Amino acid sequence: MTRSEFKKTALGGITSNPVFVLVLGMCPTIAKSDNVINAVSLGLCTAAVLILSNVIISLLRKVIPDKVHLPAYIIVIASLVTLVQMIVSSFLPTLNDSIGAFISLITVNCIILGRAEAFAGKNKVLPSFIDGVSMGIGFVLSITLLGAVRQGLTAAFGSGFFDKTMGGFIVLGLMMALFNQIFHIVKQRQKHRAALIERGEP
Amino acid sequence: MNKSIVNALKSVAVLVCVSVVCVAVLAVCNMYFPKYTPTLDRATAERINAICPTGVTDGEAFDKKYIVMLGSDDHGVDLDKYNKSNKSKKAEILAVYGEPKGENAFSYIIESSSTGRDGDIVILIAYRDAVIVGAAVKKQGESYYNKLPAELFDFLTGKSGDVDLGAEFGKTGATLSLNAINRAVNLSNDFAITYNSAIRNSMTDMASAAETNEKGEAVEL
Repeated sequence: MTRSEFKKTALGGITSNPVFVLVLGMCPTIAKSDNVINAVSLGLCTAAVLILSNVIISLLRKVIPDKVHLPAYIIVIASLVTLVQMIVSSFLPTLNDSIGAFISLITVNCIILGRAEAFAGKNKVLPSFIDGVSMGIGFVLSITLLGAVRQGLTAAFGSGFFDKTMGGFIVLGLMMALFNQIFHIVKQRQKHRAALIERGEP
Repeated sequence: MNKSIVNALKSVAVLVCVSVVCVAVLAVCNMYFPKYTPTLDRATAERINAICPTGVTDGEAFDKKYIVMLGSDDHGVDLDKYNKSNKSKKAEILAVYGEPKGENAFSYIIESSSTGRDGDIVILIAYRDAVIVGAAVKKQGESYYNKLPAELFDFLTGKSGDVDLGAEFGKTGATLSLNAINRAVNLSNDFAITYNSAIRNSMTDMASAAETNEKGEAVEL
């Protein structure tokens, strides 16, 4: 793995952020970002499944025939989700009561299958692990940020709108626009700097 | 053998292997991970005090042990045996709570559970002489729980035997959760009848033992 490949994979969680750029896994993102604790918890569960599934799928990529790779990925992902659910229900029962229903839904979260299909199924274990960590952190940060903003707005304007699905969609849309705008500005600056360096200007 | 058949067999074999490994890992974890065990903590004591008032504050009821978890040696009812014989009812009796001195032996609280949409629903049902005097949920993680009618547990007061919550509340939007509560209540009601007769028997035994003692003492004198 070259340095540039590492940098590209490690920054994948920001440059291809699953929530704000790829717009994946919207169901749990909206449903459980009504407060920070739920958002962080669900984000961490999803990240754990993402990292483990990336590693396992990468290990099995040469063994699984191409024709059955999707059902095999789903079996691995569903088993990992069940494992996470068992851990949460056994050791964190209070958390299980608040986000338990959404842990099962991680199985059909597009981020997990998307990364398995696009990255882990084609790359070695280490890059797949880095991709899982990067995407996982990206998802945790974005859902936590969304949860914090929604919780803050609910505290400021009262419950009934920003803690509900409709308010969640609006806040997500605005944050997505803001994130992409900032990202666009950063990219433009980088391009400008690269052009200056190419021309030999300081 | 035809190459496509070989490939198909290989695919099936790989899928079977992956499934077997996954199932084995989950089975091992399921064996060793701790399961939910009923405990009489402060929150449970508060809930019990709300549905079956002890006449003291929530804190006192817990600290001074006005409510205790009753064991099978109290009235000779084995919960495991009862649950095994009622496995087909898809619900479970987890614990029985009551006061420790035996003065209000016919007032007790049964903790029962059944599987709803998103896991187990655990409920506390208070009885006086096998008739429900109050009920409350202890643990649930149902995603549509708020769709259940608010008067659900009030409706249970005064009931005994089989109840049909589905017929009473119709379509709630949380059918699986309602059915789970219904199963837990019905099993609990059934157990209450068994428990009541066990209390009665143990009291009769105690009374006859006391009578025998008194007679023995009189003969000695």
